[in-house]
Amino acid sequence: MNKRQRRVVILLSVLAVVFLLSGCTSRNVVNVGWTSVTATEDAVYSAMADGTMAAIDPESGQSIWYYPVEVASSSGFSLFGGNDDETGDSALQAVYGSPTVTDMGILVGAFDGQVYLFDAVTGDYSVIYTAEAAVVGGIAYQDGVAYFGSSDNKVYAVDVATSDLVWGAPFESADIIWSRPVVDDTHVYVAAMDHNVYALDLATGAEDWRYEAESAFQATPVLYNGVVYAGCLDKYVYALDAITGELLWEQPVDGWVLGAMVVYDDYVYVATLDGMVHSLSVTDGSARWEPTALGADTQSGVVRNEGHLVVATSSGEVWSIDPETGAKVRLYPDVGEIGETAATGSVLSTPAVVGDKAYVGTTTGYLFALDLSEPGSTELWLYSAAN
Amino acid sequence: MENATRPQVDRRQLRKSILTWLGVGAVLVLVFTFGWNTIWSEVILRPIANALLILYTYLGRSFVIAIGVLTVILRALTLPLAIRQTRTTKRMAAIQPAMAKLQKKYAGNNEKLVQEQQKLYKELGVNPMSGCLLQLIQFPIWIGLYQSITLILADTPVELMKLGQTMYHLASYTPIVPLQSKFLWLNLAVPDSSSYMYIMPILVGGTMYLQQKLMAQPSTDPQTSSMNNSMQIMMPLMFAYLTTQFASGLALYFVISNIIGVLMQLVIDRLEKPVDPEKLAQLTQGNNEEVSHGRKRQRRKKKR
Repeated sequence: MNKRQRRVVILLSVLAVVFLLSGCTSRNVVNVGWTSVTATEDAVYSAMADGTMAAIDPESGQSIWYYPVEVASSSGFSLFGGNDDETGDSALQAVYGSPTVTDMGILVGAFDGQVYLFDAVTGDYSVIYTAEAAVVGGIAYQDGVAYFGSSDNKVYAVDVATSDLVWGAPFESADIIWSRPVVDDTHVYVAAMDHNVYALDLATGAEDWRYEAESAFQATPVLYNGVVYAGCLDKYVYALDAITGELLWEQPVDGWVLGAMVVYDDYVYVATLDGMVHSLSVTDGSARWEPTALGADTQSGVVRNEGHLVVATSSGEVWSIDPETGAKVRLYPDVGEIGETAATGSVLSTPAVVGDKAYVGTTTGYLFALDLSEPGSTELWLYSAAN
Repeated sequence: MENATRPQVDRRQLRKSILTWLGVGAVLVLVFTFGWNTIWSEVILRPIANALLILYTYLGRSFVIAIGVLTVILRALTLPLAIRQTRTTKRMAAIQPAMAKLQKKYAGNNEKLVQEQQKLYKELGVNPMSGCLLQLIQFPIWIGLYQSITLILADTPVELMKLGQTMYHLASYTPIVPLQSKFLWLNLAVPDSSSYMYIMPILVGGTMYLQQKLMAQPSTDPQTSSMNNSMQIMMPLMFAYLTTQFASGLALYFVISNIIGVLMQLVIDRLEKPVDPEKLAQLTQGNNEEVSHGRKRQRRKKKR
């Protein structure tokens, strides 16, 4: 091999390494989410991990519509991009917040800052607004207005019909906002990464009060009987008066609170990253029962069904917990099936529950339905993003 | 008579081999017991990520200062290897004329040439492969640093969750989350796509070229020399390109690391004495038995 040939070989080898390594990077690749899900009696709506949005029949598990019509393989060479389909529709960037079902359609916020409105029946869509950075926490909706936070530190109020900003200017906090706002008749409550929970005037977006904690808030707060409950990364849950912002009580929970909480039967139920589920009295934060250990880290929020709490873990297990005793029952998978089921993968999004069915999305791009009345049974149906 | 035919055992070498194989065995046992992911996480990822977090917490919450100080610490830990590499480079440079003579002398006998070259290396205490050890150790550190940077700058909820899993919960530095990822025009958590996007690749490529130039190992073999020259250009180009693809926090680390590497190399070059020309002359004249293997052995001889 002469000098020139040797140089060519070196050059080609270096180029090969560069291309291989660039395949591992995120640029130009659709940022996958974690298969977020929302359900109604008529359809299950899911933003899948491959950038598709699907409406699925809750009985059969067949898609009613999906967007975009055709997605190019994401394993294609990322340097040259190309996730557009034949109609010119692009795959969604990651969607972390559950889709919001409204009387105007399905609202979805994506990681590229775009807020989509999908027609619930046909799947036709429009982009109603584009924020300056990622919309992570999902969208709250009331009276034709969408409220959402963004990684550009702002809280937006957008008229869904006209795409106009309702407030003179978006409210701006000091850090990113990854939680979904909570809305009542007078205020929008937002938990932000700048350690504050804000109450903003519903009409103007002006700050009415704020409560500053020791650390950042990622979890969506919950509003119940005039009290805002917010879980924090300082491993505390705070109860704040919704009118004044006064701290009513604070309770340590020994783990980061990342997922949404639920209030039921005068108790706040919260899952922490260390895999524990806590029950805190709405009046003083005292525990109803000793924390229940799920055995794996938990990012997912807690949801409720007819007297049962449903929560999923990063190891892909779905649990049902008795709110009165804290006793847990594994809904999925069956003990003998652990690691063998088709839908193996982490469950990081909050499951959706309608009646006695739970709908669960995995990071590997699966969506499946479970019968809550039959713990340990196999999934009723399985929908794959690849399909 | 029997003793005369039995091959001589180099006890030092034997001890080294046993220790090496024990080390390899221990690593394999750990990997099979705990799994590769756990080993990687506990040995590389978590220590680096938590070191960065602690430095960030106590050094003015500046990610750039944290990366700079961590780089100095990592460089200090690998300093003995860097010194050895420089020593090897210098000795290799010094024996190039002798190597050229050997190549000429044993032009038709490759086996003999290799034997003589090995002998020369041994007499001078030079291990041409010792430079690789530094690279071998640096490579996992680079990967660990890349993973740590993307992890602690947490650009997505999944990364934030992983950060929560990675943090040592003994340390109470949760209030620093999320870390400030802005530096000048850069968002350190993502690749730079601003109008200044060519600045970091140029800085990475330039500083890496400078560092490689300082650490270059000369060779009398024209083909090897040509390959070394090509690599000196291709590697900075490759890293400059990769800088456009990876999080700019990693590009910043490359620049800081290269600058510190250049400074350290200059200091080591100054401290490391050149090879004694007398010794070299003795070697090239064939008085190899008078030359010792290393400093320890020299000291022992003096004592005697």
